[in-house]
Amino acid sequence: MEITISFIIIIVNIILAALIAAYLKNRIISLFEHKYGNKNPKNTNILKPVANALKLLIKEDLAPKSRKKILYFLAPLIVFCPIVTAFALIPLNSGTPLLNIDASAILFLALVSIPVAGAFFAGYSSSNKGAFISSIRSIILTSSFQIPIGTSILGVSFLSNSLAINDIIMTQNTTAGLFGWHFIPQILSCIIFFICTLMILNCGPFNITEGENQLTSSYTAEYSGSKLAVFHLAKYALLFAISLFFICLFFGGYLSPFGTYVLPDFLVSFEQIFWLILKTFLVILSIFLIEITLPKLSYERVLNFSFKILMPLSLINLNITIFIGYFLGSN
Amino acid sequence: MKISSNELFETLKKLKKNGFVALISLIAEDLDPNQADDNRFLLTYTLYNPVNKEFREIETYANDELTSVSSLYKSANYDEREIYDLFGIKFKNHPNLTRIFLPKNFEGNPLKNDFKINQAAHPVIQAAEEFSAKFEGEIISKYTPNLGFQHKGLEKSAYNKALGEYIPYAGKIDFLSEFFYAEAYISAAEGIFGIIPLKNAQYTRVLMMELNRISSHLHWLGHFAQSLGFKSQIYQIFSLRNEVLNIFEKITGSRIACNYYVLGGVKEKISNEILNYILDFTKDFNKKLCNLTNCLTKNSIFTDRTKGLGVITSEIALPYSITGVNLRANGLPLDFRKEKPYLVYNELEFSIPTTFEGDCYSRYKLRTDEINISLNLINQCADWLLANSNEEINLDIDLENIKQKEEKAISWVESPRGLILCYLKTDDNGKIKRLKWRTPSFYAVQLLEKIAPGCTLADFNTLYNSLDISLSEADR
Repeated sequence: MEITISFIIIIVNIILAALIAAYLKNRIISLFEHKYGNKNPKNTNILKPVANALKLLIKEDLAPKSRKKILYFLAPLIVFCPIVTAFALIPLNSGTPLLNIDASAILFLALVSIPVAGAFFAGYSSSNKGAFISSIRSIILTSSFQIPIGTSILGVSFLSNSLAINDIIMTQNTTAGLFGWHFIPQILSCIIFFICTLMILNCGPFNITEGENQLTSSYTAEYSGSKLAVFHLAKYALLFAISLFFICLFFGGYLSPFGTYVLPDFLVSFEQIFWLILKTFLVILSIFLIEITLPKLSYERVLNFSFKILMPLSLINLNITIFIGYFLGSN
Repeated sequence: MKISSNELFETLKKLKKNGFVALISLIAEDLDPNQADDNRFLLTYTLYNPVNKEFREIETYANDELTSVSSLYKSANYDEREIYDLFGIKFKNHPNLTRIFLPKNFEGNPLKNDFKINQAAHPVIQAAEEFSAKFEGEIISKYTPNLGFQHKGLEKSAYNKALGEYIPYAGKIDFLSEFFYAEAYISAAEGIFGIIPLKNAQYTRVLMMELNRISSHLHWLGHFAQSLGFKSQIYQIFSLRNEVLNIFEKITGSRIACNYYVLGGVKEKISNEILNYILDFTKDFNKKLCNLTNCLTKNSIFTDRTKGLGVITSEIALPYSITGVNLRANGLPLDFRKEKPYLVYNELEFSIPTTFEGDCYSRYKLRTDEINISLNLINQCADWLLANSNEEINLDIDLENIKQKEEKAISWVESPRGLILCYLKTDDNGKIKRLKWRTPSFYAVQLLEKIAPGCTLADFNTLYNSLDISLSEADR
């Protein structure tokens, strides 16, 4: 019963966060693109994402006649549901997370990789060639980020002796504050992980699922109405989930950069959540900036990049971590 | 040089051996529908020799059938299909003699002078053009364009019009290079009447054309960047283009379809205030443009994706009758502003940049270099106009009593996409008998048929955009 209510609260929060992120993205993009904005004195720009979401919900649910019915229906659910579960694994303050599991870092990675099956089903079941090509390309993307991201997580887990996210944050809780976080000793893992987040989100240079086939859209070409709203929501949910994971592993999660200090009891949670939100905001901002400025690679170059450059780098990183750990004797 | 239709193939073969490699244009004309013998249609072939820089015209008469020269000159493939579609002349040994503009089940040939419309109207088609491609895996194996969706019949609508009536139509062929088409038509019309405009008007015309060249190249640059994935640069580039359109608005009152030229001059003189505004505009333009193009040129993803893609070698460029930047990217400095100087281009100083690789990256680089050359030309023209601002601009022409000196005229203009040729022929009353436009994008679409196979789906968009094809120009 408790868990049901918590999941409902998570979904409501995802919706709110998605609306705010959509508004933020709109503002940043319009700064870059010289868009003359709303001259309306009552500034109602904040309601635009709400209007877009409502508009999607009341539209007619058109579907092609020659679709594969079961897969077409299941695809949005497969894309959205694992991400909601993944949110439950992240600790928001110094208590335990909702689901306290021993190897939650690896479970998080597995949950984030399930949505690609949904994307494939979406493209396969729409009887549309462009959608099918786009869904195959999303499989290309997943196959290219799995190994680098796995080895980055392993590298971090050596520093903290465990795979649970809670323990990873606890080992960053030193008096040195900012300099005790994992991004300094594991700087290479940090960079590789950030590049892999761009791959997971189909952002920036890795945006090969849409735009190349400029006549049709991505694998969501034949979806409309509330199913399309679920796809869009899943995209923002994934954005938040990945950036939360990123800061939990490398930047100390909810810890403050000034080190440990004592606060009165009622202020502790607020302060931790404040740091969490601030760091998430910075990570999301940098992802948006990269999305705006960089051009796209073609799919063969993405494969080239990930298997010839990223994978060897990540394995070298893992080896260095193991050797240094062995010689320092602590692990 | 007039020859008979039996000797056509041998003559052209001999000329091709002597170095006349390119067939620049092929013009057909219906002389007299009441004639029953073999001299109903007159065909004109214009050949070009890049070594001697020599042009030659060959004319033949034809009635119904002719031998095709598409085995000698590749660009004749599309030209002869157009003549088969609009006139009905059949060509023997043509590889693919089908209609090119009108739908396949259309009956009749519209450009014949006795064509009457007794069938239903052309069905409404929403797409801009239709291109079909066959794939093997991800690589294109065959590519066929299907033109005709933008065909507005701008050549037929000139039939039996007075010379001055057609001037606004000329700018509607391509919305991006409006001043170039207007200039081509007006030069041909002035050649028929024997009018030479005053120096002041000639400098004004050159100024407007070079401004139009900048706005067309910026439009191309925005779309080229967007096809590669740059999401925000297109808007910044169009903000720059907005400044050029503001200048047009100050001078003529409208931004795109300006209709500024008249027979013998221009509609209004440019005031000194606007000339000083133009000179201020050119001072910082280069810096702003460099900020944007550095964003592209210094990006290694961009250079990696465009270098080595879509190479147009020198063996296929001239036989496919490609002109403009697509030809100059492979080392041949052929610019018709210097080959056949028109207006005051022989008094202005400018150079012709070329590159040697011929791929998408060098075409991009050439077009950005051409913007700088246009800025230089604009500065020279504005300085001259400021210095000689007290002179008259328009000739006094009595349009009712003017007499024709010649029967036909041809004018050559170098537009941002290549060479424009306007062939104009009138009859004794002063009405137009035949007007033909040679547009550069028509041949660029044919070139796509040749270089698209072998390209992957992901790279095809880049390749198409780098050729700078304007579909409304290809269809007229």
